[in-house]
Amino acid sequence: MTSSMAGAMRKCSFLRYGGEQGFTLIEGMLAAALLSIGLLALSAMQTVALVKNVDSNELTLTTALASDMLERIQFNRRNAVSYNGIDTQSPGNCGTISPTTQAQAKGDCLLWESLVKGSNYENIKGVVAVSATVIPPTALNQRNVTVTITWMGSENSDHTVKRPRSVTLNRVVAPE
Amino acid sequence: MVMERHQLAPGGSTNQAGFTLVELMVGMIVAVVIVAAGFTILTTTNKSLQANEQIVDMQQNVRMAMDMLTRDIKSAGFGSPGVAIGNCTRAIVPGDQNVAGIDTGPDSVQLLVPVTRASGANRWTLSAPTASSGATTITLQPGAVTDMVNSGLVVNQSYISIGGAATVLVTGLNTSASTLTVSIPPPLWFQIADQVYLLQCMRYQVVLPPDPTNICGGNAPCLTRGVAGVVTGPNAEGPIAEGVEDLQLAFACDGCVTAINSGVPDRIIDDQNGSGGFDQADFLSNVPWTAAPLTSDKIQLVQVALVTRQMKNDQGFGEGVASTGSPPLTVTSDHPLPADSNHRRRVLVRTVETRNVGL
Repeated sequence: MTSSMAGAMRKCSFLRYGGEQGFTLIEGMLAAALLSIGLLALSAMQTVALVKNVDSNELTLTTALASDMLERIQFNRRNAVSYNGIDTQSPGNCGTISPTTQAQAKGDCLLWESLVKGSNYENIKGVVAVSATVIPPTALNQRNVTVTITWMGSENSDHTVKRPRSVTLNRVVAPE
Repeated sequence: MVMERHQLAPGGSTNQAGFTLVELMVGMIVAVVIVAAGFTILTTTNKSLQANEQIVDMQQNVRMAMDMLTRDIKSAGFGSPGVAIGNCTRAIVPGDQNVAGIDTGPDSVQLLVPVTRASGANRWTLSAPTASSGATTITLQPGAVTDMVNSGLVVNQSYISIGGAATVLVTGLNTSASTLTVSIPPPLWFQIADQVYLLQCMRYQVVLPPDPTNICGGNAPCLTRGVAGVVTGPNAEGPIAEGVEDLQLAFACDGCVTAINSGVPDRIIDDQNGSGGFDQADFLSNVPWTAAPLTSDKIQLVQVALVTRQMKNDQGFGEGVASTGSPPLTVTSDHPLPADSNHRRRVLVRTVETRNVGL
């Protein structure tokens, strides 16, 4: 036992005569403040765990959205180029796709736009990029398709900053 | 002991002061407040932990169920012999809950999928090449044929696909020699280690409480996968994801409207509602898919919607997607869920292309 500990025990022991001292108000308040800081940290941990769950759910849903579009392009792979430039936030989105010669792409674009917007995530945006030139070996007429979804994620655990998040799926599409 | 110590204390005095009743009561009240705060934190943390676990499980379940189902939809029809296998008269056999109108329950679907074992000593691969002059017997890894029989291989009923290149009827087997009697015509021949697939008709179905046959193992509702009606073995219907409450499927087809391109598939989803383009209404839900021209081999896109809920009642952290009864939670659904505010829900929708259905 160190001398300071022994001294503290002596100080706190009410078995001693005279010089009886309890905790002072300051000491008690300090202890309470320390305890509350610890408890606050505990509750912050819960928020972190909940936010992570929300994050993972957002990622699952947006990945499903991106793969949804890839599957549509995979079905209409002969016309993959018509999907280039789809941007769900652009005012004239789908407007450049011909409803007569590219009926399938037009419908996919409109349906996908409503699916993306239907997620109701803040500032969500879906973009499709199809490489203008075929990628080698050129005989296969393959094109690189990239579907990117960006959105504003949920708040950090400090409740102030929203983080921009994104998911990108890449696939090479070849007409048969 | 304490008393003795007091009496024996050197320089003992009667001038001893304990706590007064008021001091004691104030101290106890303070202690109670601190303990109550501690317990509040404890119970809140516990609730939040349980809620978190429920959410994690629920999200994993819906993702897993969606992955398995979409993968099987993509492979449905792989190596199909063109004849009925089990209940699968075609590669996809949709089972809308009520083809006459609004559903009152989840849909089901049966898919003709290749089943195999890719690893282990008894993997389903050829252990010897076949002759280029044709073959009447193929030899598999030791134990593979026994494993296939356990998985539902029946002589003169089951078809196998070898490497995806040849689909043949199994007309005999020898479990000890691990051979299958088949008829592979020349010039087809196969190399050692080529994979062998057993074609089976797998049913996806949502089992809701009260689950009379206990197929969910006490965890209803659940999504089950397996050959319809089989109760034991690897191909038996069993739960693959708990908490799956609704499965809704809508199908888009090509070459299924006689008036469009003379009923010949043109790689454009057929316009079912005369809207002049491809829209959501071209995904059909209330169709039996058995009467021409609307047959399931014309299906090109499948929209899958899954709804899962947490397995236990909400712990008082209600932040979830509660079902209010209507409208339906999913875009493809024609099934309004019953009102229930006690469970969080997750909804996942995906569109997949059928790769092998029309082949």
